[in-house]
Amino acid sequence: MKGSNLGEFEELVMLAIGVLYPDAYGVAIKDEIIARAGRSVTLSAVHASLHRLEEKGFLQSEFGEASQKRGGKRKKNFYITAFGAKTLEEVKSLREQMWGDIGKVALQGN
Amino acid sequence: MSISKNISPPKWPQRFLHWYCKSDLLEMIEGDIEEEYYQIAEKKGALKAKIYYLRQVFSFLRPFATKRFFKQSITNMGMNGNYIKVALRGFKKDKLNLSLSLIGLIVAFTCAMIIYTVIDYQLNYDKFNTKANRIYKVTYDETLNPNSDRKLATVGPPLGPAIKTYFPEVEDAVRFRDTPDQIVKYKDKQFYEKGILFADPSLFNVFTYPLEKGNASKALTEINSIVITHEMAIKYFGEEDPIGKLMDIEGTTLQVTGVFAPIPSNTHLHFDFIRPFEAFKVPFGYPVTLDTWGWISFHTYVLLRPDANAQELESKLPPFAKTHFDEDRISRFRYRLQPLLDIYFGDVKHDKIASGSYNYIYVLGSVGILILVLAAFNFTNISTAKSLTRAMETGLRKTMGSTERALWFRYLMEPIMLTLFAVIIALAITPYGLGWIGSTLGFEYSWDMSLFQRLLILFLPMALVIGLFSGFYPAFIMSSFQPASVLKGNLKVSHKGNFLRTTLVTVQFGITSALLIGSFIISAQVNFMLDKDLGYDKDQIAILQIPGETLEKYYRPLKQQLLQNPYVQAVSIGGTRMDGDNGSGPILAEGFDEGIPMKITAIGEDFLKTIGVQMLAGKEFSATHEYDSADGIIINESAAKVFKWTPEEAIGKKMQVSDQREGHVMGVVKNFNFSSLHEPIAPFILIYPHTRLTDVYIKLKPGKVHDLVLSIENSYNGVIADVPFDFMFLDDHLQKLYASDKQFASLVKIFSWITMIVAIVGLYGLIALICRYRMKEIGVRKVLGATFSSLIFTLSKSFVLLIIIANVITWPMVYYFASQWINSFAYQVDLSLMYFVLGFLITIGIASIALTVQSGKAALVNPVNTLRQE
Repeated sequence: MKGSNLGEFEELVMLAIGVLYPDAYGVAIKDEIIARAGRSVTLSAVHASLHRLEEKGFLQSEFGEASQKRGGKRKKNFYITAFGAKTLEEVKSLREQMWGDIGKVALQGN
Repeated sequence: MSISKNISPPKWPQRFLHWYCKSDLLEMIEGDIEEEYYQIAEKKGALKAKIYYLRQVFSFLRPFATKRFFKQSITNMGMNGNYIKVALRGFKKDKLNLSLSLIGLIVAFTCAMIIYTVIDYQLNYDKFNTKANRIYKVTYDETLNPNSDRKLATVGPPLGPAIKTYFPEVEDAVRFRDTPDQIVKYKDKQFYEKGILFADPSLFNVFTYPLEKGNASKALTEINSIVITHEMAIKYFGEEDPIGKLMDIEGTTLQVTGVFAPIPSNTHLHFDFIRPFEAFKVPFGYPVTLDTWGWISFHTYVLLRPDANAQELESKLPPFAKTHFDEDRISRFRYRLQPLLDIYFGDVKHDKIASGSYNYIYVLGSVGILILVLAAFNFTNISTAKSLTRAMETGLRKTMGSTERALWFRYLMEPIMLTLFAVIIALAITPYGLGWIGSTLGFEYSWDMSLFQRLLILFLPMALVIGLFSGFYPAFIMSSFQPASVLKGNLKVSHKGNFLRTTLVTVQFGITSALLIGSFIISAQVNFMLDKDLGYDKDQIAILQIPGETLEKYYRPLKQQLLQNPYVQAVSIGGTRMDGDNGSGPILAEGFDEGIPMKITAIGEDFLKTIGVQMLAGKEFSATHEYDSADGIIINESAAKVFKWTPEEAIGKKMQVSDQREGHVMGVVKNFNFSSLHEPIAPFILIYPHTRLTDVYIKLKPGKVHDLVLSIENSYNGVIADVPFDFMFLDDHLQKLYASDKQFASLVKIFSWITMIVAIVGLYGLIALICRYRMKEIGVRKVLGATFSSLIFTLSKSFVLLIIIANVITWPMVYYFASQWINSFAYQVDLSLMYFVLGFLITIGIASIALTVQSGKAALVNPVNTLRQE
C-alpha cells in the first residue's frame, strides 16, 4: 500500500520525536536531527514531513503551552501513534533481518 | 528572556505568511519560525535574523502549508489545472510574442541590475571602513577671503598631533604625506611607484585596513619599516613571504613589516606603500619644518569619539587655530571637518584623490529607471493585446462557472510568472554582463553574495510589481465581461484597450527618443572635451620621467644626446603635466595690496616653444640670458586679466610669487589648458626652476611609434644607465583625466541602444498582434482593391503618428535636462537641433522597418484564407 511506506527522512523525524518525547515540536525536532545526523535540515522540510506523517496516521499532535520566546504562539507537540510505532518496529526488524543475512565478505568493498 | 520591540519580526514577510498559510497550521509554523528568529536575533543581530525570517517564509510556500485559493466546486472542477494547460498552449502557439516579451524583460532587468551595481559601487565609497561615520578629514577653507575660492584637502603637519592632544573628543588622528614618483627596487625588480605615502601608525586605528601578514601594532613603529599592499606583495615578491625582506626606495633600505589584505577599490584614498610618518624628511630647498602650521600639504583625518559632535568641534577650531597663526592670517581661513563618506563626492578636490560626480549618477540612474519603465510598458502592451484574443475563452469559462476571483488569478499569474522568470535569468546573466562591460570600459566590480542579495531584494518585488501592473488591465477587462455578449460576438475586440495601448506606446517612444538624443548629446560633450584644442601641441609630445637628483646631474648631457636623435625636435623640462596637478600660492603684484592665489609651476628654458605655445609679449626663459631668467616671471593671459594689464603693460611689472620668488614679469603667454577641461583656464604663474624637476619634455618628429621609442631609449641609456627608462606620451597621460567621462558616455550609449532595441522588439510584437486581429479587415480591403503599399500605410500610420507625438512631447524635456547637465562643464558643446533630429530619425527609421516587415507579412496573405471562415 502506498501510504504505509516510511522514507528515510521521515524515519529520522519519527525517531527524533521518540527521543524528544513528550516535547517534540518543530524546532526541537529539527535541532535534534541536525545535532545527531549532522546534516542541514530546514524547518519547512521538517514540517512538510510531519504533515505527511500525520496524514498517514503515524503521528498525532496537540497544542502545548504558549511562550514569550515564540512571540506568544503555542507549540504543537507530536506523538507517535500505535500504528506509527508498529511501522517503525517493522522497518527496524526488516533492517536487522537483512543485516543478519549479509555475509562479511560483501561488506569489504571490493 | 526579554524581547525588545525593535527586533520584532519583519512586517511584510509576516503578512505574506498570514496570507498564504493554512489557518490550522499557521500558529505552529509561525511560532516555530519566530522561536528561531529570536534566537538568531540575539546571537547574530537583527539583520541576519530578518533575512532568516524572510527565507523561512518563502520556504514554507509548499503545497501542504498553503491555503486552497480555489474552492473546488462541481462546476469548475478541473479548471484550475486547465489554466496552466491553456497558458502553456498559448505560449506554444505564440512563441514569437512570448520570446519577445521575455527577451525584452530579461534585457531590461539585466541593464537595470548592471546600472544598480555601478551606482551602488559609487555610493558606497569608503563605506568599508567600520568607523566611517566617525572619521572626518580636516580641510583648509579660504572661501571666507573674498580674493580666494580655494578649499584645500590638506593642512599643516603639526595639526594632527595637536588636535588630538587639545580636544578630548578626538580619539585619534592620522596624517598622510604624498611623495613624488620614486623608484622601488627589490633584487632585480625595479619600478616607478606613484603610491608611496608616509602615514602615522594610528592609520590602523582610524581606518579599516587589516594586515594579512604582519602585526599592525608594530608595523609602523620602526623608522625603516614599510607596509605594502597585497598587489605590491605579488608584484615584487610573487610566492615569497615579503615579511622581513629588504626593499630599496631611492637609496634608502626599508624592511617590509606588513602586507595589507586586499583593499576594496571604492576608496578615495589610494596607496601602494605606507612608510612611517617619522621617516618623512622635509625635502631639500623647502623653507619649512614639520612645525610649520602654514605648510598646507598634509592630508589629516581625525577619528571622533562615538559621543562627539562634529559641528561642535568645528566651531571650536578657529580659537584653536588662533594659537598657531597670526591675526592677519586667521581671518582668512577656517578649518573644516569633512565627513569621510562625503569626500568622494565632495567639493574639496585633490589630485591624489579620486572624485565622483552625482551628475553621472543621476543620469545613469534615470537611464536605468527609464529602461525598466519601457520594458514594463512593452510587456503590458503585449499582454493586454494578447488577452483580447482570449475574450471568447474567458466568456466560455464564465459560463462554465469560473469565479471572478479565479479569472483574476489566471490573468495575474501568467505575467507574474514571466516577470519572475525574467528576473531570475537576468540575475544569472548580470555577472557576465558586468564582467564584459567592466573589461571593455576598464573598471572593476566584484560580484559577491551581498550584492546578489541586494539585487534579489530590490528586483524580486520589482518584478512582482511589473507583473501585477501588466496583468491588471487585462484581468480587469476580462473579469468584467458579460459572458453572453462575448459569446454572441458583440464585443468589439480591437477597440478595447486602445487608449491604454496608445498611451503606453507613446510613452515608450518618448523614452526611446529621449535616451537616444541624450546619449548623442553626452557623447558629443565628452568627445568635445577629448578633441578640444588645448592651446598647445599635445600630439607630438613625450614625457621622460627621471628622479630629481639624477636629472639635475644629467640634464645637460641628456639634452644634447636627445637633440642628436633624428626623432627629436626640441627638449625642455617642466614641472607640470598639464593635468592640473600644480601648486598654488598668493601672488602679490605691483599696485595691489592683497595677494591673489594663483597656480604656480616651474619650467625650464624654451619650454613654451617646445610645447608650441605662443608668447603674447616678452620672452620666455632661455639658457642664453640665464640671469634674467632667474628672477623672471611669466604669466598667462588669464593672470594678466586679473591684474587688468594688457600683455604689453605687464612686462617689467614687479611681482612676489608666494614666499618663493620676487622678480619682474618678463613674458605673457597665450592661454593654454594646463589642467583638465572640467575647469576653465585659471591664472597661471610660471617661474624658472628652483627645486628639482622630474619631467623632461620632448617634442617629437613624426615617425613609427615603435622605432621612435626604441631610438629614444637608446639615446637615454647612453647617458643614464642606472635609472629605468620611463617614457610616456602626453596625450596618453591626458586621456586619464577623462577616463571617467569616457566610461560614463559609453555606458549611457550602450544602454540607450539597448533600450531602443527593446522598444523596437516590443513594437514588432505589438504590430504582429494587431495585424492578427485585423486579418479579416485586411482581407476585405484587399478584395476591394487595396494595394500592398496602401495596406502598409494603413497599418503603420497610427504608430508613426504616435512616434511623432512622443517626440514633440519629449524634446523640450530633453532640452531642459541636457542644458542643465552641460552647464556643469567649463567647456560646453552647442546643443544643436541635429542631435534631436537624428534621435527622431533613427527611432522612426528602425520602427518603420519593423512596421513594414510585420504589416508586409499580413498584407501578403491571400484574402481567401482569412475570409472564407465565418
